[in-house]
Amino acid sequence: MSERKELFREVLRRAGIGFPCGAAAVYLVFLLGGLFAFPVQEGNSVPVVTAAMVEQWGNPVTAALVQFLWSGLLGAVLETAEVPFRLERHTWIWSGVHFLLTAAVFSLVGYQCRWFPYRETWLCILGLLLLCYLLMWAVRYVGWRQDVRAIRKGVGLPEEPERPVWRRAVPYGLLAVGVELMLPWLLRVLDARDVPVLTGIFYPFLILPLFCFFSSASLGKRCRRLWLCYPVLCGALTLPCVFLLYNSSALFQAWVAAIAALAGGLLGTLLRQRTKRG
Amino acid sequence: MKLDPAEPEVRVVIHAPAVTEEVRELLARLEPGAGLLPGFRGTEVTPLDPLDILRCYGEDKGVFAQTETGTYQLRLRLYELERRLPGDRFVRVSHSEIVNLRKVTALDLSLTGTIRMTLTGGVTVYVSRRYVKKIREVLGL
Repeated sequence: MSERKELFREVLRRAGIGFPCGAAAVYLVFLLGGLFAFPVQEGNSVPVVTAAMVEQWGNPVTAALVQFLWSGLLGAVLETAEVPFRLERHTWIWSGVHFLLTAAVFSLVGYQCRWFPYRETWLCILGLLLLCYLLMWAVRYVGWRQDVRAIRKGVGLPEEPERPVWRRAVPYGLLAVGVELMLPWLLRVLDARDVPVLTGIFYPFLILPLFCFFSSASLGKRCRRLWLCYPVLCGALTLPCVFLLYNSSALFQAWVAAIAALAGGLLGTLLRQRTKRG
Repeated sequence: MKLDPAEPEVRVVIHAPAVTEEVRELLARLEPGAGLLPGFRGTEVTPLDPLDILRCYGEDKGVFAQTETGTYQLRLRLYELERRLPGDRFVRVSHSEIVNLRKVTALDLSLTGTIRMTLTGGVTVYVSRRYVKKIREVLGL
């Protein structure tokens, strides 16, 4: 059988599995959402479609049937996400195309089923979808890397030469730029208009210190002296957002970032020394 | 394998219940010169030692063997070659390519997930991810 035909059959097979799974997952989400809803819904019934969709289709049964078809389609598309990895060439392009297709289908289904009354919710879930794709890629890539390392060893090739310290530190710097310069703006878009929970509480008190601590711990473990610059960088990188997005009252973020990075770096150094002794 | 310094030369004894196809194939392999593959280039025929082959590949309905000195056409199919070449040394790395693992000089993974294998003389081969498991098996990993 030719490769193209084989792939087509694989897409159909996965879509066939994905359709009922997608439909079931959507109803399960509605059922669980209804069961744990607060405040508790009136009456004994748990809604499996949104009120807006019932209104659009006239009655709940028709709305539920239409939602069944749409959510099945979404499940079918999601289930085929692994297929691009079977392609030998341009895997990342096909994976990107698949993401765009999934995002389009997801948006269409969400619109037809009236799942997202707010634009922010839709954007937030699209962001999560993108994160899932990136994670899927990262997991695959790590697997391929391990395979290549094993084969290199098997054929008697030398281990990959160790990269210079500054090159090992570059990804940490880029990640810090992304988290401290770009993430607050993204969170501001997703934030509720009345109470900005994401930028007001989650980012400065949870995301920022945890990120600085763990990334610095990892850097401290890998780079012996260079990590000492990282707390300074973490603290400095908060400043543009403090003045552009917040105000001077948010200056504490610079200290939060620097102290968390310092603590993380010290932990990383301790771990490195312990590994060395062991 | 039985090592005995008193033996005057190397002897191979085959124990089998009957002369089967498998036995005939084994005998053919033990014939002097049986390991060599005839490589065709124009009107010339060159006996190729499998150990000198870098890779065998299919192209335009033909099968070719590339050595450090040149490329020769073979009158065998890739699956036949796969059977004839030493299994611990040669492995299929893609739908149309068999590679001599002892001739690998580099192996890289690109950010887009492409595995590139470099052979002696800078010959580049792309490894299909589908065959990675098989390669690991051959290498006993």
